[in-house]
Amino acid sequence: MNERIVTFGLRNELVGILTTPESALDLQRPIVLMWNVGVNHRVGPFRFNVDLARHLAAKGFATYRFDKSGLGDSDFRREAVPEAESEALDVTEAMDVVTRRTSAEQFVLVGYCSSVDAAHQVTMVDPRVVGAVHIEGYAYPTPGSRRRARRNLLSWSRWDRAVRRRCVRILRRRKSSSTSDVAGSIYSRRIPTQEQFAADLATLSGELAKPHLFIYSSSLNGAEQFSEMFDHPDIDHSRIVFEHYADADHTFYTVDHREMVIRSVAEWLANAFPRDVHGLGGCQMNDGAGLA
Amino acid sequence: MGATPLFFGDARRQLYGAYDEPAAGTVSHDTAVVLAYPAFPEYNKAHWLFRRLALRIAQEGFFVLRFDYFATGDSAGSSEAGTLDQWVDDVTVAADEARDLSGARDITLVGLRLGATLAARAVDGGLDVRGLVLWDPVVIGDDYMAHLLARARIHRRVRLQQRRRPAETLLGYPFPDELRRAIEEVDLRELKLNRSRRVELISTEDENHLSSLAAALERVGVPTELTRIRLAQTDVGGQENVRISAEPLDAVIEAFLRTETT
Repeated sequence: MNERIVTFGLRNELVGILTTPESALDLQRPIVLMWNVGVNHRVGPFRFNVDLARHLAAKGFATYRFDKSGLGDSDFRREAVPEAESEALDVTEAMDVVTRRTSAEQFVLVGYCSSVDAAHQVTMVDPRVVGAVHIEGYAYPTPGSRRRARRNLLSWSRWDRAVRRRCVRILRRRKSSSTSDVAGSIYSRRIPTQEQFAADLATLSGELAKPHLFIYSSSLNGAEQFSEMFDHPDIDHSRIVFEHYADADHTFYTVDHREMVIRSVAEWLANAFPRDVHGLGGCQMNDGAGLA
Repeated sequence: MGATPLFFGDARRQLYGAYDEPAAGTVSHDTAVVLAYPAFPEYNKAHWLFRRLALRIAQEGFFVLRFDYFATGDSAGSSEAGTLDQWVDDVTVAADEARDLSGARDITLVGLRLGATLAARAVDGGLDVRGLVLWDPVVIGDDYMAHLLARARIHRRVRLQQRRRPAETLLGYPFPDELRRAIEEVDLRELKLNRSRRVELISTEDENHLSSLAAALERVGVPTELTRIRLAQTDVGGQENVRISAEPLDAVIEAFLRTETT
């Protein structure tokens, strides 16, 4: 495994780490992009992005983890970019710099919680994106989830989670300025409606033929909720993989859960984008600008 | 201008860092500064804070390097491979790198929480520094472990995991027994910090043994100042409930600048 710093942007103000396997890069396989989860910097919660990147490198996939504009080690862009488009622009330009560096032209985007917004936005419109992973992405209540919630009124774990979430919300209202000044300016979301996302998924899985992996924790009230949420007649389920870790929390707090999620992503990638068995699609890295 | 990222140190165990340089035209000094992050959940909370701290120190005319210890952040090493001794060595490697990059003669270390402890240990181990700024350092390792364990008990799933894999994880992080024992053995009051010309202690907590640490340092002739700050708010982001706050930043900068006048 090799890791290199690759910067991009007009002033090379955005920072990322390109992780590649020891062997020559297989250009038949997409490069996996990941970036900030919420306002955390690019290593991810509990170093998740780092562990995922290195595990994928061992399985033959290159990755690029980066800080979007203004977060982590990336400086703010100076050029005027509407806030709603900034993160998608960061993702697009990240793909540009990785292509310049590796000649790879296909990407899989990994969205985790808030970063699914830009992952989804770019996957819809950019032909270079050939698939996506949504970890703790969009979730919508359904009649079935509400029925299950009512049945679970006597469930200790349900109340336990609800009380803890309430406590965390109360305590977070008293947050100091260490991150809130960042969060206020760059942490806003545009979440599609359930109907719109289902329609998008139909387009992505059908016409655009882009496989997707969805991973959820206990944020879903039962595994059935996924099919209830995205019950669209045109979704090609052969291109959709859904995994539910019912006893995990939103951040996959335990080491075990994170290891399972990482293995799931690796296995899905290997199935969706198998290795170039003829060895004709390899490339050596370009030593060029934007490296440190 | 943003920080410049780099990998440095032994190529087989490369460390990730980012440095800020004084802006062109500002007076630069013959001291380079190394910032030592806290660990575990406090690391994520402090990342943005350290970026601001580095920028402000650079605006005062100083070269500043912040870095990830081995097996943390973007540095090499899997998460369970980190040891306290390795992290102390990393502080010294970072200090050498800061000198090489900046051309500065002197080094001042600024550490927060466990990072402050590691910085102090590095000085105790032979690193000569101009100044040592210890911001809420872990003085007694047993107290720190008790604090971490108390936080972990809040999270039910972690309690379940600890039953399955006791003593190997803590607060969601791999936590080998060796690391736990090394932390429990920490007592900063036993260190000899004579290789620092001045020690500045910043405290935001009521009881943290800093008074006894300050007294111990004074007894061995190390100029020491203790600054106590009462936080207006407690930063309680999520379940970690750690006290990482930007409120002491001004005091930390002032403390650092005092090390320059000694």
